[in-house]
Amino acid sequence: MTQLLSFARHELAYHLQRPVTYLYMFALLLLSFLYTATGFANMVFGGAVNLDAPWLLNRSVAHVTLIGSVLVSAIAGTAVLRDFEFKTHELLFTTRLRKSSFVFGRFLGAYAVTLLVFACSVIGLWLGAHMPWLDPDKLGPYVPGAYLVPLVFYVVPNTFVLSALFFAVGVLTRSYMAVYVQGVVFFLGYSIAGESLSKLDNERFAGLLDPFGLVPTDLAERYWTIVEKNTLVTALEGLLLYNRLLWIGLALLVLFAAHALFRMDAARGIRGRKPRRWLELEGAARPPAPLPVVTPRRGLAVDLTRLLAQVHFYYLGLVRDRTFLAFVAVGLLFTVHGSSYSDVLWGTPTWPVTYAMTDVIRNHARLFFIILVPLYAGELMWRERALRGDQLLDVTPTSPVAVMIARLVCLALVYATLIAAMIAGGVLVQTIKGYHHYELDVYLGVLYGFYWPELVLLSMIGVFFQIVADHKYLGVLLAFVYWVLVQAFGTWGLDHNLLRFAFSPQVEYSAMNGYGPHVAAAMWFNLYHFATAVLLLVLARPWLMHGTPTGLRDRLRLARARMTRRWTAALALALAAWLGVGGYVYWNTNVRNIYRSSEDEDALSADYERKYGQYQDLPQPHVEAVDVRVDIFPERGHAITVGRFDLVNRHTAPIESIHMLLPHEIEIRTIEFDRPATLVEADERIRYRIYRLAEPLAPGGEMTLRFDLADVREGFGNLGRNAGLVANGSFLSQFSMMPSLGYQRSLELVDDDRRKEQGLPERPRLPSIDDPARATASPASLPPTGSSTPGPCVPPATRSLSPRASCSASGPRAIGAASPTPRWARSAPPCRSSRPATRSCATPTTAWRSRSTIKKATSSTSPPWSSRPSARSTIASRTSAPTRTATSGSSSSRATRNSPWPPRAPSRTPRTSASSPASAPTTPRTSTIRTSSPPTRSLTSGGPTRSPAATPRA
Amino acid sequence: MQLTVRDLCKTYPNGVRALKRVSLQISTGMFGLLGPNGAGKSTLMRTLATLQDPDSGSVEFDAFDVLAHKERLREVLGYLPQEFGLYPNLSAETILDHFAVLKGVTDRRERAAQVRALLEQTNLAPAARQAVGGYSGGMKQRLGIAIALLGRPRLVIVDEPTAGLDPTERHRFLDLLAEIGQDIVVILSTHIVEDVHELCENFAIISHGEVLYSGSPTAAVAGLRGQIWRRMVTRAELPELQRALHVIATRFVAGRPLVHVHHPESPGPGFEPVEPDLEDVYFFHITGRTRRTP
Repeated sequence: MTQLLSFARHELAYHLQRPVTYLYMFALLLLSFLYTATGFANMVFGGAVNLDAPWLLNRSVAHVTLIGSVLVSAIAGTAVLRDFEFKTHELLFTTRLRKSSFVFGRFLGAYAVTLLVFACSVIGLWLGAHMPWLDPDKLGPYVPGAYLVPLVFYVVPNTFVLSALFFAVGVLTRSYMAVYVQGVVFFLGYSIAGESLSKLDNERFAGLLDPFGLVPTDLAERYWTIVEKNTLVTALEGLLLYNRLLWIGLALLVLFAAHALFRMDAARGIRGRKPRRWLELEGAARPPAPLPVVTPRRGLAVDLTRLLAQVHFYYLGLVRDRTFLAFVAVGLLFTVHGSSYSDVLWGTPTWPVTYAMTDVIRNHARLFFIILVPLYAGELMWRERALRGDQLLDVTPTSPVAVMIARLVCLALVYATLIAAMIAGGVLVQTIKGYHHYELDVYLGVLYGFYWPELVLLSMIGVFFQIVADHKYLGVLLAFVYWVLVQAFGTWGLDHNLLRFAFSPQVEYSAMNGYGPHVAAAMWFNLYHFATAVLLLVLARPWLMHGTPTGLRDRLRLARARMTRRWTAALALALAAWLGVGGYVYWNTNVRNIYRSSEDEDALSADYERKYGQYQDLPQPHVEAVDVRVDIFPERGHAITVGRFDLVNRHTAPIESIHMLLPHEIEIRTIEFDRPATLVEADERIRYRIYRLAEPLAPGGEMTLRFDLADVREGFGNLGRNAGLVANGSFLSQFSMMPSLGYQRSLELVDDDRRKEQGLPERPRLPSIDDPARATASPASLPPTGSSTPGPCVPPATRSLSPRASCSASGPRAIGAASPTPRWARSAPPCRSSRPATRSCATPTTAWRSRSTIKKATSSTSPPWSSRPSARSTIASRTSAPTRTATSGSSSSRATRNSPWPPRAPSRTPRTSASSPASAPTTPRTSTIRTSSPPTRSLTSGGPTRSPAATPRA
Repeated sequence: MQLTVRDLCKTYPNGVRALKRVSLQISTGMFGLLGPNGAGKSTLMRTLATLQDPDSGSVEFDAFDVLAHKERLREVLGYLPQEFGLYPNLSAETILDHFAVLKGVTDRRERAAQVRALLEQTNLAPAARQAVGGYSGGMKQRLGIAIALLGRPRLVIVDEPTAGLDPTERHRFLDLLAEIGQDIVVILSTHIVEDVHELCENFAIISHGEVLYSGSPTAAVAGLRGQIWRRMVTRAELPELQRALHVIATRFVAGRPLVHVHHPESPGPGFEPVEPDLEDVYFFHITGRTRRTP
């Protein structure tokens, strides 16, 4: 026993004197701190839950143990390995040491350290929630044990399970590589399994199988109200209790198995595998002969040869490693797993078309690469130093910059290889499912043209952090934390892609429009990010490790010596390129196009409400008929709308003034009435206009409004170009091209927190349907439904909210043409999170025809200034299209924008399948749409809309 | 061809003064650097190999300033660090070929010939295609030597190269060095006096970062002739003797201590003169330093 304790104490002491342990603690502390201090937790769990709600704490902490599994493998997995590394095992095993003391002692010590490290997450959560800048309303009443329960129910068992598992792998393989990989594999494996788990019919079984205890907790508390979430402490009973007991039991079993299998011998590996036979050669007495004379060369050609040789050398070194094979296997697993669900859309089977497969690869592999890229950057930057071969390399006449470039190129090649493996996986799945139209060009174009550059950029930033940190794991951690923070930038209002490294409008392939209109924008952004990375690397160059400098003074001296004129020139060049490209992009996004951060948009919404909310009940004429002629220039993304509204006063009182809101990005060429009217207010910021009619419109009176509006923006915006305007199947909505009349209550901010931020009072809830006030209210006061969750971030549970569901929820409230249909289709149309049941033709005609469906299917709204599509709105031109046809789209876009690792910018070309009536991309294409009566009210359940006749005129 | 080291100083962040105004003149041929562990040999070697900068001082090779033009030195440098590792899953041949490219031997045929010759010379040819992860310590050391000799080095710096070698291999290696060392500068650091004795035309003794002696081994031995005395003593006498006289070495012969003492003339009865060897020179300087700075 004393032996055991002594080992445990020794292990603990070892870790406590290592700076990296404190780094781990700090990392988890920071992560948890930011989680609450930035209000990010509210993004994930909903704004109504307090930041110190026991419900939220439990989940946050359980997630931290999941994310931190990599740290556990670093602490517990290596506990026994160190003895082999430092070669103390031969000393130890020849003493009177008992095996159990050694194995369990080391384990206990490592587990204690793990506990200490993970306990920091709770402290971080507490600290974060109590930061002075947070609204005190976000803190609930003191709940005894709120911070203790997650520690006891989740941290203690979860880290025990993880420690036992990783420790056992370390003990049995005696290989750092295995330990290194297992954390990653476990994490990824869990995220795969988690998805399958959620599909299990037997909830209780799924609840038992989750080693982190998240599923049983969710099962027990899924019907909790906000108040319960804020005040109740999870009880350790039922499924959760069984789950915890089961896993602790399993962990003990694993531990004892590891103990039984462990042999105190010098051999590596599980069983007494023969120690590697050292080669030794007979020393034949041979007289030294003169060496052949060679002539080392120098010059550009030699430098190039060297670079290629280095790339080749590193590449071979990496891909021949068994770790790499493990990663390839994981990559394949991801593809196959992801694609096995990708061809079912809302229960309807579709073909695994290639662009759906590329989506699967991009979305599913993202997490994988986010972990892999910093790790590999660290691995490769430290390749020689880890082997202690750096001095041999550094004395060759190869420049350290060339070595760094070779490493970067090698990383790029390695990812290219991984992507190739994933493509092979995709083709395999397609073949198995009997789909043989492989479209390799789409695979290559999407993945190498737009996904791979992102990985290259991430590698560059990873290498940058390695140089700056000059510590392998610190560098990996910095890159990782940075990357997670960048993902969160969006939620803090920093959503300009110029500020978010490696973000660009996401190019998505569609059968109808190929790569869509974002290609140029994505390339410019990528070029800009590339320039950023180059600039950073040039800045870091003086600190690039070379030789054996000791201490900061040496490093500084070396750095100063490296700031030569050539370096300054390179820096100037890189800076110029960065500024040049950045300036061009900025000119496009902010000058030629409108850019607003989400804060700005909220502010606009708030101002709109404050200034014009007074007109909420103002009677406005109804639109009786619409005649519109739209000229579409798909190559440039332009649309010119010339049209007429026939207006009728259906109210009992005369109408004195017409209020209208105009789309922000259009150029107003003409707005005129058929009778004298004066523009009494023109709010250019909000684009709200008030016209006073010289003669009020009497009840029952008719008038017309003519307009000529042009969307002639050049270049690209932050989210790319208007994806609705494309050659084959444009998608236009009334609200991106026509004026809308009256004040639109649906454009007000809905989310309580965001309203508070903007200084708006709490929004009154939906009045009762019998409320007489409601009956007289203007139709404009249609409240959005189902918006209890803040728009951009949808937690996994609600992510899959079916458009049908929301459709029927709001269906009966469909109102006439002038009603405030949400304007989700501005420059960035539909959402990624939910998909139409069947993709179908979205030509202007069908889009228009199915307008009322759209309106109903959309549950939350975005104002005309919003570049953010609402998370759950849907393209719903739901004309029936055949399912399981070769082209019926099945794009997977499971992740939402602000889930921890979201896919990027949401503007998405409508991918449609049925052939478009007007398929020849002529310029301009003009279609005229006429409706003679408001859309019917009969649509309640999202069936195909047969609404007024539409006459396409080419 | 000459390597001139002037007033090199180096203090590590932990306060250790590894080099204290080290000045050396090294010309073609083998130069031995003799010193106990921690004397600053490796620091000096690394500084000469452009791996780290001194706090002050200068290094000149072939009339150019090494510290200002490190790349130029690297083109003619062969260096074998004291401790090193190599890519475990690659073969000796691959590694040598790679380093040859890094050293600028881009001609394929030349490179192949040199790699083959070096593998032969270091007696690694039969194992050339095996992964170096399976090599023994001696084989790894020989591979390191082969790497150092790749290209056409004019300055070869080897840091304790004979440490892990068996006697046969040690001789082979020293012969190889002597062979190439005829018309280039070879600096060999070691704590084995014999290495220097057998090979080096010049050598220096370095201890605690200071050069205690620099010159040729024969001159060094000649300089001590007639000043080294020995006597068998009892263990009880030893402390007293060490206080009174400059005892340079004590070793046991048949269980009784035999002391070597440095003294201009006979230190007393019982002492007999010894013909000094290089070891005496080494111990004389090392102990002399500690006597001066107690």
